[in-house]
Amino acid sequence: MKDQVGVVLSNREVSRDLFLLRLRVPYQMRESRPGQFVMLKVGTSHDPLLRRPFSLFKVREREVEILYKVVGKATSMMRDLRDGDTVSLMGPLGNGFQPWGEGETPLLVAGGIGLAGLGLLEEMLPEEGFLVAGFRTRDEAPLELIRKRNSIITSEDGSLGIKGTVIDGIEMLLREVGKTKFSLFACGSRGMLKAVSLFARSHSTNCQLLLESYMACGVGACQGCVILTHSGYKRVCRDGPVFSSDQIVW
Amino acid sequence: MKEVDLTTEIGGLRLKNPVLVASGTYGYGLDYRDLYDPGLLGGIIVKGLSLEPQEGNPPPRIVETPCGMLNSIGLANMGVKEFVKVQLPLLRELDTHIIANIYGKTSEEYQEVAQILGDQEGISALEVNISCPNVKRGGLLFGAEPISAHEVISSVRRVYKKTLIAKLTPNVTDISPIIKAVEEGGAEAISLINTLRGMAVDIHTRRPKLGSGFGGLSGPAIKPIALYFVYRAVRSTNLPVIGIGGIVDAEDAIEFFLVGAKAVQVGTANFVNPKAPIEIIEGIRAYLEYHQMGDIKELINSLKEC
Repeated sequence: MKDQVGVVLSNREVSRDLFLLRLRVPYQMRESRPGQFVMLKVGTSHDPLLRRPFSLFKVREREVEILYKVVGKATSMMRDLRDGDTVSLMGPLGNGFQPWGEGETPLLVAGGIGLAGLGLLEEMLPEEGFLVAGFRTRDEAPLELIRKRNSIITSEDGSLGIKGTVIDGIEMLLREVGKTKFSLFACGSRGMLKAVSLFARSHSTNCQLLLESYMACGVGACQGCVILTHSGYKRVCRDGPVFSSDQIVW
Repeated sequence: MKEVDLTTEIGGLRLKNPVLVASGTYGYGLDYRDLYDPGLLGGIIVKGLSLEPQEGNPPPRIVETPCGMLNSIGLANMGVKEFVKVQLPLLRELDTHIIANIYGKTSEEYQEVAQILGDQEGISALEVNISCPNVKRGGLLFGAEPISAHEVISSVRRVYKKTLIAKLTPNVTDISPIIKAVEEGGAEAISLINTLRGMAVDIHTRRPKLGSGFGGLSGPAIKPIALYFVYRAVRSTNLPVIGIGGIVDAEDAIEFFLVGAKAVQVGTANFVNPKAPIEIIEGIRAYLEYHQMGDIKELINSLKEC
């Protein structure tokens, strides 16, 4: 883990309210594992005060990409970043995904901005791996960032791909490919993750979830970001952010 | 030029510099070691320890507010026995003082925790938390009343021989009787302020934003209040005072020294800028050199009248 200054290389809107921030960093981040995150801060203002956690979407030698959604004050400040501006970023943090097992086919499941947490894993997908990405509407989908091969896109209003949720997408995939032993990797809203977990349980499928939480420190010190698991409260930042779906108490 | 002297004394405890890290913001002392050597600090105050492990409060436990944050962690901790077994051996390697923050539901529990830690090599002092706003029993209840504050501190004093610091709450009308009570109970120093009680509400769900309803406010938002409490405390006791509350840089720390704090604790700033305590130490040194003071003691309590 390092605390470093990232220089903005580009920062552009890829779909409605979704932005892709590309940073050059002094220390290489190649050792980052899929599912890990950074704590990022724009400027030195006390308002907003805390850093914000963001998944690593893509990592090159000394380049980092973060896919983010503008939702509040901190992300609005990120949207206003121009080329050459700097941000502070600390990471990589947290435990990444465990690899899929032998004989299993990886299936990534992204709900909306949840795509941001699956970027590094997507790069490691074998040819037979799949992605199901769900959005509410067409204008929310960053199509340029979604792999072409073996991917299913859903939208709740039917304006893009299959009408429905990611669960509808997964079920369609199962009908198409028949008897395949999948291993699920999901990131998205709490409701979506719960639905994916229930699906995984009813199909006896391994399923890992990348969770998000309000964080203060990001390194395990403050115990602020906990979620309830079957073995008590766990810190999303340090014990996660990836958890096996059967650990979570919904 | 001669190196400036940053050493300061808190009761019987001699610190190599006056910058400590506050309990609850620094885990068990090692979470930030990738970024710098924690041995550079004046001291580390570890997460509040209780006799038995505590799960803590339901999430969300953190919410940001303007220039500050509310927390309701609820003193989640591994318990003193696990701490002594697993964490303390690692902390002994560090070249700084380890101060254990302790908490109990009864004064007997405080005493038992103190007794366990009193037998341990590597713990330099205890900071007794009688001021946490996030637990139903103990905590703030003890620190808000002189009689109970005295009871807890004196019961710990009976079994603990090294430096004893009482951590006080700002959630009182007048802090002077509390200070007097902990002084009579045997505290050698006081640290203040703990967080201020506060809450935030989600207007869409119409629920409190924190899982337990309310919490403690910290960060730059509370610094003026903290500074005033320290100012008042210094003028009402001869005990050394450790200033806490919203310190994020050297300028903040120097304000606390000017009103009389003998040391400071950096808390919430650790989350924002983990290297803040180290930058503060360097900033204090630079300030003293610039003003041609050879010793931090020349700075402490040197506030001029308005």
